[in-house]
Amino acid sequence: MNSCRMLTLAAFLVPLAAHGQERPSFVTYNHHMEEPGALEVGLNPLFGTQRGGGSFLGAWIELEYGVKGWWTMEVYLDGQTTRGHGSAFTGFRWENRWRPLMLEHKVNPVLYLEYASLNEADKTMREVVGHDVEAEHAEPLDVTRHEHEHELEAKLILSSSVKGWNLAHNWIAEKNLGGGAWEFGYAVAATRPFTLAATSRPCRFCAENFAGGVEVYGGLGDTDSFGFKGTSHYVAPFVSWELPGGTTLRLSPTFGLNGKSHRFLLRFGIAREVALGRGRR
Amino acid sequence: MARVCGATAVALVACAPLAGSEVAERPSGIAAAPASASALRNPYDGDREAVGAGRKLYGAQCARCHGERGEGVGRAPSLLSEAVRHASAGALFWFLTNGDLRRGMPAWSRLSEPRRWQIVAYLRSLDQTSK
Repeated sequence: MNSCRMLTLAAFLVPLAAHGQERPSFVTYNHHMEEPGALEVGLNPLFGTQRGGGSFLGAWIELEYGVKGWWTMEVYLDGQTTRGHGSAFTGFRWENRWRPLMLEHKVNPVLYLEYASLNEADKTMREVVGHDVEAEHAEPLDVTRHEHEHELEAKLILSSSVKGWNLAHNWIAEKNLGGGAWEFGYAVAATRPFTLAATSRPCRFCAENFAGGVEVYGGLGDTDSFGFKGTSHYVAPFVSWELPGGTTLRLSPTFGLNGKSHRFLLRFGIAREVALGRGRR
Repeated sequence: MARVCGATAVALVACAPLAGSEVAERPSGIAAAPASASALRNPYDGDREAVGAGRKLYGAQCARCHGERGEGVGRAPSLLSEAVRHASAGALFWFLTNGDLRRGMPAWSRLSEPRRWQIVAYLRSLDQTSK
């Protein structure tokens, strides 16, 4: 499936929507779960520069469903197109998040488990782990699309609400089920709405509809060589805009922090929530 | 290290079914609000602008389940019930913040504190108009 087909599919899905609740950050998760019985449909393109290769556009379609108040499930369909190399569907991911504690605490843990069936051509960069570096993305698509991987990924998500801010920290562990070491990564984010209180008037461009913040993420090596050596890291300010009709738009320019990182990435996201039924689950 | 990571992954899977069991013995819903929360006062008490803002927030976040006027839809209870009308503003705020995840009420801590208080102000106005 190429990017054009993914965009077309999303265009059909998006108008079904009701109200968006997408988190503003792209990589870092917080403890807020999808509402029970609600399905969120999103499209998230990622433009990236590439030294030693063509610039690329990765994208994922996201289907996020609130199974229970404490359990959210997501399916992702990934694809990419690389300048001069063509396009490819790169695989899917199935993710589950569970909140083990039913009440709000100073630090709220969430357990995350994901199975991914991807090929090496995947460039969505939904997380950075191990020794993920820019040079890997320079390999030709005709080669990487035939290298298939089954991965298991676990995250410990820790999230706090402090004076209008949400502070979130993710510890990531990923394992290629075909063999190899466990790979580790991290992501941290601070997010805040532009204004804390709402106004009574309907408005589209007022500050209350915007939230912003910054996230930092990167790899931490693997079980054979844990640490920062040979890893890539990024800093990414982000902003989200919740339109009154229910669409959430997100934007995040991302900057590499060392020579192993892509110099620049630009993430964009559009999401809407589809109400599959009324009442609680 | 690999053994530790493997054990972590197994623990993640094993813990999942336990989710939801934390408060099995506790009172549920608004009744579970601790006394300290119930004693909180709404900083927007008597603020008509806050009621209007709460109405807007309610329409965007709550009406889908609880109905346009809080009458309740499906399994989502009416917000005009005695339990809600007699609950203190602080208890309503606590319940909005924590939700009742086992019974499908989301935690609205994703909304800032002022916005949750604005919704409480609107719920109180529903109480007055329904009398």
